[in-house]
Amino acid sequence: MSDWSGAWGGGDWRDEEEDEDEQQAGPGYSATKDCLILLIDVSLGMFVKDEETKGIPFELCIKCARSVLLNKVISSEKDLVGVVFFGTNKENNPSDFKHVYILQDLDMPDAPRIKELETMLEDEGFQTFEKDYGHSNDFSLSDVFWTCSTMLSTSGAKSSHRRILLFTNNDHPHQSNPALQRQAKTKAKDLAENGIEVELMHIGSGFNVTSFYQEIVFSDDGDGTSFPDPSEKFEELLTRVRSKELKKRALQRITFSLGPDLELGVGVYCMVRETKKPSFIRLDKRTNEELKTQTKKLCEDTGSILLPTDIKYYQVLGAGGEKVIFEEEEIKELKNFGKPGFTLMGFRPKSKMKMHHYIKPANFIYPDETTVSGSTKLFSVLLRRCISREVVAVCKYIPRNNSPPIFVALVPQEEELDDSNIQISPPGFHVIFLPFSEDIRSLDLPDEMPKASHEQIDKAKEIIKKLSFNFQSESFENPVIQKHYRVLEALALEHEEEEEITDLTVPDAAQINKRAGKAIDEFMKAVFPDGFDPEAKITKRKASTSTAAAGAAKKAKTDEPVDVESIAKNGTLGKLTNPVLKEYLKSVGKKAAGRKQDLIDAINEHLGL
Amino acid sequence: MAGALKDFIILLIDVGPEMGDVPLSVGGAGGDDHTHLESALKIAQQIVFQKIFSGSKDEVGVVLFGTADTDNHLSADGGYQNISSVWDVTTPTTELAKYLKEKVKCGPAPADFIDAIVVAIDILVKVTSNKKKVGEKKIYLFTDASSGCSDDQIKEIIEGLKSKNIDLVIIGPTLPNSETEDDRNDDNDDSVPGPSHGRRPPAPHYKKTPAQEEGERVLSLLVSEGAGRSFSFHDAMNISSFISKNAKKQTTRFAGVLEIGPQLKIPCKIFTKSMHERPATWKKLSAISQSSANPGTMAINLERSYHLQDEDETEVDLSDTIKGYRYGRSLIPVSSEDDDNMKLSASKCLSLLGFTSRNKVRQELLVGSSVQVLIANPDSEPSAVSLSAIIRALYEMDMAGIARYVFRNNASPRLCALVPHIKPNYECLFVVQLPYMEDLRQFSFASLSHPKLEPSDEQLTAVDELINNMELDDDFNTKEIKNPLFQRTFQCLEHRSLNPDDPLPPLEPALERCLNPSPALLSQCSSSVLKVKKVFPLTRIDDKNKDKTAVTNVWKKSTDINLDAKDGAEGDDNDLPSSKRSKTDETDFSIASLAKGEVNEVGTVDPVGDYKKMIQNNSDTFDKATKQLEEVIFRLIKGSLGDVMYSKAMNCIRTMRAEAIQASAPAGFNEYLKRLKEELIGTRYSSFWDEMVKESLSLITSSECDKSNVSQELSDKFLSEDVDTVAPVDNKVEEEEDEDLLAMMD
Repeated sequence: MSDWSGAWGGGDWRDEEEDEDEQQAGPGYSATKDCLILLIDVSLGMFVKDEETKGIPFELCIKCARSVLLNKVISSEKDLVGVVFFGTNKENNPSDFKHVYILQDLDMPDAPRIKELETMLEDEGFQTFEKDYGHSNDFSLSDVFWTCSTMLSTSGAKSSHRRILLFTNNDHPHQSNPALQRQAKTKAKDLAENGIEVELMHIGSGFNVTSFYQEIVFSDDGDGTSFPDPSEKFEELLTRVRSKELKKRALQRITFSLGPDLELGVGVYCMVRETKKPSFIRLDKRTNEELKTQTKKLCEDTGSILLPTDIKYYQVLGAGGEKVIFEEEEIKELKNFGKPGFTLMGFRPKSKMKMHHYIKPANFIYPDETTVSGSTKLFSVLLRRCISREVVAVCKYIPRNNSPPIFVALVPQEEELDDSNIQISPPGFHVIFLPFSEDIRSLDLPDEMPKASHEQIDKAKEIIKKLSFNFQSESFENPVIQKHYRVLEALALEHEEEEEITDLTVPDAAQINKRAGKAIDEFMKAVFPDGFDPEAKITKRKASTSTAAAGAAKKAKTDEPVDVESIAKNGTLGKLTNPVLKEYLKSVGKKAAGRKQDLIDAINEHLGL
Repeated sequence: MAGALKDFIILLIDVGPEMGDVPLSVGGAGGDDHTHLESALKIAQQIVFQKIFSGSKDEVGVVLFGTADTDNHLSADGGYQNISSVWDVTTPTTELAKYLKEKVKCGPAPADFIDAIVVAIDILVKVTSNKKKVGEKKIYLFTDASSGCSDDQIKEIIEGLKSKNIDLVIIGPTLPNSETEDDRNDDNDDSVPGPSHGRRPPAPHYKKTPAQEEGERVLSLLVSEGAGRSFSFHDAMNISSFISKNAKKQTTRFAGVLEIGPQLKIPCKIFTKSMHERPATWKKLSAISQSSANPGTMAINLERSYHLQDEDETEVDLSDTIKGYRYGRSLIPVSSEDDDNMKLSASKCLSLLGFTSRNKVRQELLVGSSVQVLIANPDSEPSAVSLSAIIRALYEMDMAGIARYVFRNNASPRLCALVPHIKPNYECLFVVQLPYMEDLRQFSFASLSHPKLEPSDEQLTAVDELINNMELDDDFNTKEIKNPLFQRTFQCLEHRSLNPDDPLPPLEPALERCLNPSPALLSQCSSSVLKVKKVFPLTRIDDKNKDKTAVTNVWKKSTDINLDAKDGAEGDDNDLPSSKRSKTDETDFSIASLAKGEVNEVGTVDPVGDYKKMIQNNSDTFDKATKQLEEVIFRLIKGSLGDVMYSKAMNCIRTMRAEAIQASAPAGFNEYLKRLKEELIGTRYSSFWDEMVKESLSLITSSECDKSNVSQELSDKFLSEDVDTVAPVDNKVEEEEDEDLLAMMD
């Protein structure tokens, strides 16, 4: 944050500054944990090369598991992930079931776990797998599910979502044993009733879902018979995404007042915010243990440690002026302009919204029944009418107690679904913050700039046509964050080098040349004079005659010998310019450097004043 | 640049005897009992604070006329008496405001305001004669024009003001031929009528003195000759109470080339157009030092230390620490070399990636803290022509540019949109920041186009009517409104600086007015508001009474769809991860609650949460859980230090009540409430009961739950009456008590 003098003096750029209002919306918030078990069939069939894909199914599974862990570490490190093999010869599980091997119990992902999987992948042809775990077809899926269920219930995590991904290429594991089939189905039903979701990741084109698994995997999608093509799911699992996942959470639940005594409840959400690099922590150099940072506030005069109540707040009025002091409570009161909520000021056409009336990222509101019941109905009608009448609601918005008011425009958004009925844009109002008069600067821009001719404009249109694309934010990763995660990943997993990063924000010169090289050439011929060098140092245009004359006069004036000594005696050296002061100092053989006051002091010292 | 110019201002204040009179107001809104001098000084102080807050370097001096002494440059030859230059022309501080507030008093000798103007002109000419960057020169003349004047020099003065470019602002009487005709009557009420001869003794008078009339005539002359402007005290007070923050200096954010492909480079400059301004941050000082007899700097020093997370919190020296990052559960130490390697290096550029349709740049999806303006380098004609061609082409095609923008070497690359903007006098591209993939949060919300939400015609019409009647006219423009936080902060700073021991002043009504819908609009829409209220049933749920789960259930029953009501701000039971998004949210609730895990006991830490979990997981535990909650409530109340735990206990009771209604088991709750009342009333915990009464948390009535036999009346009575007169809540008890009474009477 800038200090008082900076803010008054002007010219400070608070670009990098984080908005205080948004801190609560930032990352780092995480209350619920998801639990995920990767359940992998390791019976011998999984190690047989698939004829179509020429890949070993087991290898694909481990790659998926690795990718899941790598992604989870970044997106939601607090989530718990476990890896369980079934169809092993050895066993490792609390109930001592045969042929069930817990490779990694449910826990937060970390580097050693990923390395364990990487080591497995490095083992060409999985030579040591037989020795380490072995294979068997005598497993019981019921035991397998039991193990998973136990893991999920004893993890101690307060989890919101529990899921098992079952990887197999065997569509009928207990073909000859109806009892085992029955047990498996019963146990699967138990899982479903306990809210544990089982998702089937079946491998191989010949896999017949209906022969057995249909009754194991209860699909939420309705009829339970439609099993999506797994290849898409595998692709999803294998895609590396290095982005923090944030849980949906209302910033505030407040009222929206449409008029006297007419209020509905809304939740305020944050749908877009700049994501920053994660912040560092301090470790003990010797042990790599995490250290706690303590900050003490000490009174400079007395040396005593200050408690929050020992602190007062002040601003300085004017340069070198007095401190005007307030209590913390008074600062809060000073910012209090009423109770939190939206207050409707009126409606206006959406067309009046201006692109440059922007001061910070928008929020989003959706009805909230916990504040006012019945809100949803009114909200949805209001939304519907605002959409069809193309109006926005201008409101006063006070986000929290003791936060100052700001005007916002509520811009209606219709719900939008894609082809597979997945929501692309949710229904609700965007909350666009409107600037106050202080927030818009009147700029002194040169008018009478030369304008382009129609011909030149047409040439420009050519370029635009050739270089147009369908922009989507989703296709641009932040290179700063991606670089950070890649290097961190390499350090954590002891890889020699980090995965290469493609900075998508760097234009592809070759592509542009290929597509629009000719158009650009023609445009340049039309607008630039021969030999125009855009990167040459641009000299200031000749000023108009009057200012030129003034400049000359000014110059003449400085050329006049100035009687520095007598001015110094008058004590008005401050009125002279730095060059004059420096010139004088040089002329008397003194060092001429520093700020104005330094120069004045030097002169005074020289003259013994 | 204009910002470097300094204004020079003389506050020329009449302190003649009449200035000390209280204008006799006749009912008008401007009727306060301030003397003219007080009003004048208040406005003068506001002018001084304006200068302080705006951070300008303008200089202000003060000249009083009507003082007992004489102290000015022109008085040497005997003229210009009773005029004192009391404050040299300098950049003002709060000292000047304090001086005006405390030191300026009415003097005994009226002085000629024309003479005073001459003195002020003389001072302004002297102080500005050697200065280069002189902006405006201004004299604020505060007078009631009653001190008499001689108009023999008036021509010269008008000439002098005009030729020296001095702006004369007269604050005082409403002049006969001034422009503010409408205000005239009001202000004449304010001005002091008095007996014609009563000039010397400062007694109240009821008619303008001849001197005053003459004075006003001369002032009018100044105005009509174009040498001055005039305002009444009242108007001036209103104008000066809104403080303008000094405009930010226009600084170049980027000067370089806009690259379109490897060849085409257009020299350009970028400036900031809009950015949210906030009052300066508050600095902290040590109250310990401040309250000591001899406060020093009062500064606060921060001391940071690093500690092991062991029992002793052993301190570790900074040199023994290393930076690190979390990688899941692993902690990865990072050497400074690695750390550098983690940073992306980028060199300054503005390079175009391509063009896209204008509607892909959505205002609701912008990030960053500003909008910037890109123009061609004004000193290069070819760049102006080429940029003009691009801007016009984009404008005509309704397209925008997408570019990588690094405003200086090694700044983070940003994704920006270049949006064409054409005005009659200039063309530019707005530069706005677009989000990266990581910045978008893909939350989904339940659809609002559910059949159950289909509105009736009546509802549609009501909302439509509201929109019609609440249409804003063009006069209301938020960008014309000053940020109230600035005004409020300035107001408090000013007040505290002049009155250090006073509490904060109240919020100015004018400030509050501009933050609320206009009364005209409100009255215009009042019938539509009533209509909307009539056709949309809305029930406010008491803040403290928020019982999310119950509400969700109630809602689910009534409409059978899930509406995100349950993802509490505490976030303990909410959402599914994004992978689940496509599925309808219908199952959320059951999964979420099931997933909460077993809870077997109601504790005092989160009793409501525990209780809900217990009864949700298993209905058999309802009685057990309720019993435990009852215990917890007693413990909370009795263990409470003062009333700190009361709200928690109150929450428990509310939850219990809601659940009892939900489960159609009112009897247990009602019994408990009776016991609670008996326990509390007459003890030192009876204040808790008072709270219950305040919240009207009473017995469950038959209207809330079929199984209850308690009427509303009885329920109300139960709250209002003391324990010994408590009305029996069911007939059996009533009979028994009747018998007891009879027995006693026997």
